[in-house]
Amino acid sequence: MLVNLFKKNSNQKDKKRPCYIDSLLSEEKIPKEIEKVKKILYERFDCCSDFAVREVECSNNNIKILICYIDGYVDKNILSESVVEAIQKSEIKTNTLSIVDFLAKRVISSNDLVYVETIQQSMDGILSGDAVIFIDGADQALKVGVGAPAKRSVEEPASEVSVRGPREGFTESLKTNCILLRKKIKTSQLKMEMLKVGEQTGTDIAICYIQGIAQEEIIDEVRQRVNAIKIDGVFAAGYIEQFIQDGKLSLFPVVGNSEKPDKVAAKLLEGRVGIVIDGTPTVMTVPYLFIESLQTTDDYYGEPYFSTFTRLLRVMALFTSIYMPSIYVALSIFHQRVVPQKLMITMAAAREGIPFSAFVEAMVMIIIFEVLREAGIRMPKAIGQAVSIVGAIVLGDAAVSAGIASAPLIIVVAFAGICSFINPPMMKIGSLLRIVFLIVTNLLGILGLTSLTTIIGIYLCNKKSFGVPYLTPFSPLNLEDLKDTIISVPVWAMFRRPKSIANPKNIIRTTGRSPSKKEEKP
Amino acid sequence: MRKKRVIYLVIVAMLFALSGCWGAKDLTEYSILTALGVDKEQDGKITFSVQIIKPSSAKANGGGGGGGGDQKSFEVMSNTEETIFATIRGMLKKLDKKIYHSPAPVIVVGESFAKEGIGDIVDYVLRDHETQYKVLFVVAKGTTARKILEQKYELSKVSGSYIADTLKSYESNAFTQEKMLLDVAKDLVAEGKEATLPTISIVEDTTETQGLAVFLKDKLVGYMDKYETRGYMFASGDVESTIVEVDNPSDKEKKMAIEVTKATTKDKLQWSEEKVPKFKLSIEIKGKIGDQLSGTELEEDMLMKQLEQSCSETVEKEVKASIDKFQKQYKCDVLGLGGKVFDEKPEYWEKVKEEWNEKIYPQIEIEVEVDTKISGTGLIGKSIKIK
Repeated sequence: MLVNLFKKNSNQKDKKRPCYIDSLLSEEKIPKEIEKVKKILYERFDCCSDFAVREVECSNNNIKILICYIDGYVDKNILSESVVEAIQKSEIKTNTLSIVDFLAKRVISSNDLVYVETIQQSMDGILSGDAVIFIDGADQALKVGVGAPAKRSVEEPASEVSVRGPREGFTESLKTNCILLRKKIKTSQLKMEMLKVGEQTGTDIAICYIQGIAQEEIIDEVRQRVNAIKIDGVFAAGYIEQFIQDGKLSLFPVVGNSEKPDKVAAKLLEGRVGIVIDGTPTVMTVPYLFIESLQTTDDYYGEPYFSTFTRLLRVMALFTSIYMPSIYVALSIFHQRVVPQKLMITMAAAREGIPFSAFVEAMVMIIIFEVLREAGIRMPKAIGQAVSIVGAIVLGDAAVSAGIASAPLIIVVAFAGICSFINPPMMKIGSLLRIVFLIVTNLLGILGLTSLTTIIGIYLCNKKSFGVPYLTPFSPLNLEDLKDTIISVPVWAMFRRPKSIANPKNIIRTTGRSPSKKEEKP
Repeated sequence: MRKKRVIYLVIVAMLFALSGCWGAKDLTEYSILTALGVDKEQDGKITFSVQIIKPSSAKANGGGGGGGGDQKSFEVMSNTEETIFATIRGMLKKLDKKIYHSPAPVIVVGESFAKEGIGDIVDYVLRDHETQYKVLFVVAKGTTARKILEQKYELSKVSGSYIADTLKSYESNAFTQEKMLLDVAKDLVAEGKEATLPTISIVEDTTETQGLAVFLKDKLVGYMDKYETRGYMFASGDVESTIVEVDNPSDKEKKMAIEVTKATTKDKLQWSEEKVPKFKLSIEIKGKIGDQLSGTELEEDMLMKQLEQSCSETVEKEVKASIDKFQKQYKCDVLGLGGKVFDEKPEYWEKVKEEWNEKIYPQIEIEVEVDTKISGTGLIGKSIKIK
């Protein structure tokens, strides 16, 4: 019902949308008379103090030329050198070429030059940091890229750290990001389709994929879903993620996010589709499977034995972070029989004199932990130490000595919390599930735990990410793909790309290690 | 496909059934029991003693509370009533929290109670849903269960598990045998087999678990000392390892120790023309020299042979002595010969079972044959030469 209500509302809004947006979307041609152009532009950019118009003329005739740009958005040196000065000094001869062609071919020295024909296109150009040159008497304008937007340099990503892998990370600039990808995959098969989303923000989005490796159906699906987005503004990948993910609300992440070009490039090579969004340093990849949250780039760059070991650790940590507090509570209030006697005495000794039930104790400690975690992210860095001191000493140690919480429980909660940090993509859902499991276990013991696990299992089995079952390759089972799940085989032994994702016609990744004679000692 | 689905559903449904109880009760709402004792008063009433742990003072590392080293970490409570169940329920008049049976590793049966029959207590414990099947039974030899429970141990704060652990570790010497609830129950109901239980007695400041108590039906009839116990263990094939002391062949004054690393027992019933069957026990022992008290040269094969022979003789003597005691003194078939007869000739057993222990069992000829093989001399060959 609720969803329907929202739908109706949004439909009504569609109808009442201000008409100037509609006119923006129209294909209005550039009028030949320069005064008309001027009038339209001034109308559109009314009260935009940063909109600048420069009027110039050539040295030999009096054709009026308008140069329009956003002040501060463009590099003024480049603009005056390669556009303004060039036009002023030039002598236009229109014998063989039209004036627009003449300017484009002979006068303006910038590489980034595009012909535009509609008002809309030229406005888009102006708003994305280009200068647009309108010429009196011509129905075409020239868009010259002279933009110098504030840019961050390529830095090591803060959220994903790699030990042996490359350190570079995506930035907020779409072009930089695309180049970073292009640098990794030097083939023209790497396609980057540009789209614009956001009726007010007009954010550029690039859909990247490798033709021949990615499945056409998945690319189509991505294209369709991105094109269907109708929103006023896009400021981060999360906006797009929520629109394109499978299902309106998803408990588990079904769209991958990464700040590392090498990771995204590797995923593109597996047949996934990347979505680069201007203004966000994270690039999304789809389809995203459950197992991907347990994989890191270092798994492939390091020794396979150790990678397998850390994979197993991560699997263990995932379950520990979700289950451990609820199992502790279940053992201490329902199933004391399974606790060995000596451990039971220790547990009982720790709980003696504590006024709360194990559940309340666990709940309070979990919430304190979550508050500390959130505070750690949000607070200004200058006061960072205060939180760790208060968190570690005051809340942990003092709670035990004051007899508010028992020491084993603090260990359990803290360990579960630490475990949740091993798998960042699963951290959010892990925190929620931990609390839900705790509540259910407090009511029903292990019975509740198994029931909820079953329900979540069914949910996960049903889930799909862009048409690919979420639990692949476990369910449906695919033996070949299991090589890169809870174990991690050497890279030379991963012969095939993931069967469920890559194009079946182009599935061979490597032919393995060929026995080389050089390995033998001469 | 549909069949598969049904199977999956059943498997999932089983998960729910296997998940255990769902009555919530916090650990702090229980009195944690570490040992249980049962005695019989002179007027026939039953006294139950429970050893309840004080968790904060029994905690492994003492804890920050500063409980002090000498503080008693447990409390023994007793209650006397007519029946076992009433006694345990009645305990709550003295205790603030419900008793939690499950962690108790040991049940001590007082001598007085054992003489009247242990059937009741075994029945109660089996019936109760909280006790574990691995709880150990032990008889308080020459004393009451309460006294055993009150015994303090320097090395452990949880005396119940201390008793259980001594039983377990001393079993490797074959001078006692641990008996779990299920073993006891099996012995009590099995045809042609009498029960034995390990014993515990107070010696000076501490307790000792050595020897077995012999039961006829469910009543205590007597005890075995440690060598008789070992003889019985060899005869029944329960020896895991033990130390057999034999005369040193080169110096009769001194003894040598042979460590038995493996002992296997085979038994065979021989049916003759007469009504009474014969019984043959053949015991095979593998061992090595544990220590050597005088500077004997060991390499000589003769010496080894002599050692092997004297080891066999010692064991044979022990086995025969204990069998003799069962047959003549207690008239109590703890070896379970009757059971073997029942297995082979049930009709015959039906005829004799009433008078088996009294008449037939004492007359059975039991032939014992021991064969020892000594295969090693430990880590060193020759013994060290002392200047």
